[in-house]
Amino acid sequence: MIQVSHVSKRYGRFGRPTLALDDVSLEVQTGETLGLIGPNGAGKTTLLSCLLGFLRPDSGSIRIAGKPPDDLSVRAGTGYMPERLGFDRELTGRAFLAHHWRLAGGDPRATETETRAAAERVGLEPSVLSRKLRTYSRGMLQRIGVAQATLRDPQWLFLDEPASGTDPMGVAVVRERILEAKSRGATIVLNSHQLPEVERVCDRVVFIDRGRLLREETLRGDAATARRTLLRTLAGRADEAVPVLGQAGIAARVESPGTLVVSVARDEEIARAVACLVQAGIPVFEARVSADLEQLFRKGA
Amino acid sequence: MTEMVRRFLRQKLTSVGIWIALCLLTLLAAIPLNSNQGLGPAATLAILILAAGSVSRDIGSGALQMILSRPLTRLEYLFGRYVGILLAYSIFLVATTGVAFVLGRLAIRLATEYSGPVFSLSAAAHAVLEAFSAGALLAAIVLFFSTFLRGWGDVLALIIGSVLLVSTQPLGFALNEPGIARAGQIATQNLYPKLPWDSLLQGRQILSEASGRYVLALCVYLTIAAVVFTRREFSYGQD
Repeated sequence: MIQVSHVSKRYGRFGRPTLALDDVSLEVQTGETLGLIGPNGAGKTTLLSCLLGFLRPDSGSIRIAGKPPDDLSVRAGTGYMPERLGFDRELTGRAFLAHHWRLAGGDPRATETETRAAAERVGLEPSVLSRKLRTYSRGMLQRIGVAQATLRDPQWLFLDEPASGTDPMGVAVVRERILEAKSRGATIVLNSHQLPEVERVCDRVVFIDRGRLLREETLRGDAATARRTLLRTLAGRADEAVPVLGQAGIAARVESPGTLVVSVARDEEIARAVACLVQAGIPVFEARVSADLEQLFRKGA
Repeated sequence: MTEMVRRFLRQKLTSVGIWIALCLLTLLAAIPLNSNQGLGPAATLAILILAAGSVSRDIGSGALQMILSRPLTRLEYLFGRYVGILLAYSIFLVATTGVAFVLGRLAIRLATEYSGPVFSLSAAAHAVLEAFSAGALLAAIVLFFSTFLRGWGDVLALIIGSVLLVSTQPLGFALNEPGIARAGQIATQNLYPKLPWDSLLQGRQILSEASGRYVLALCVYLTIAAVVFTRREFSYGQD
């Protein structure tokens, strides 16, 4: 478990100091995926830097599995991908991954097979690995960054804008890696502005602004906060669907022609709403559940 | 630490510019070495090239954060860099000695009546040891500056410091201020001490004041570099 207790961090001791983190407290349970959401300059990267031990909080404490973040046993189980990828650009992709494999304490005899497998998992061809990193596109660098972060199946994964600048395929690859880490029980802290991706992979999100943790929303499980469901039907029949759902005790409104917004939290209720409409002869083409992070983000900000 | 040494060597020796500079300096240092006149300023330039930006460039690029997220102590990283510098410098010195030897042989073979100085292995070994000890101290100073200054600021700080140190004594004499001249002399002796290799190679003065000053200065520079580096925070923004 990751425990952050009353952490404050100030930049610039002289002149005009900036309070980057203001009494932040949160917990991330083992196996949970937490999303950090907030505007630029909110303090998300500062929080990640504190979690990784690069920055020391001015007050408060951080414990990862009961140990400080810079404890070597914690680091041995940590994977990290920074927003700004600081690579040795003269290295080949293979040498870069091999370097991180060895640094992570991987068996040197397995370097070749493990680095090739890691590259394949993020969709990088073996031929690409022979090229120097300075010839890589932004998307390729992001992919190899994710590959290095997930080497040796880390127990704690800290990702700072992992899909930034990647194409849709790259976004999908990053998502798959996160979901794979999640499925094997890794604890993940994700900082991303890509709200749909955050919603897809995170169990919980916290909103940070001006260094303060404003609120949190649970996206999965029984404790999930209200989600909205989008039901798509025929353009002319959406108005007709509202009273049908109302009779079943489900509040709905028409968002756009053919699209209904239903505020329900549980999967059973969504299924009931779809069944009601179908029984009333109103076709349902799509039911999409969304936590509507953008709305929550606006509210948070 | 081995991985850090390997990384340092790969970083420095994969740069074409550094290769060209080191080859040129090898040649420039080999000429006086062949004449038994030491290695000259070329060796000093070589250590500066090798030590420049050894930590600051990793901090600036953000590569350090990725390395420090791995199970590696900051001291392992720092001393890995230092050992890397010394290893690369040793290779440079060995190569220079080799080139000096070849130059000496060529001179004898090509000139029918060669009357110049003959390459002496013992004189070369003496010069190489002297250059190595001076280089180890310079590298420690640059490493210390590199833990908190940006980019090439470490070498710049060393140059400025050296100029101030060297000019204090003559300045004191010029101003007719023996106090300043004496302070300059003491500062030079303590901040940039030299090992008495002449005596050391003869098995004398091993535990002398000069040897003590050198060891103390080296330890102090490395210790303060370690203290600064382990206490430093690394961030790449205030987001």
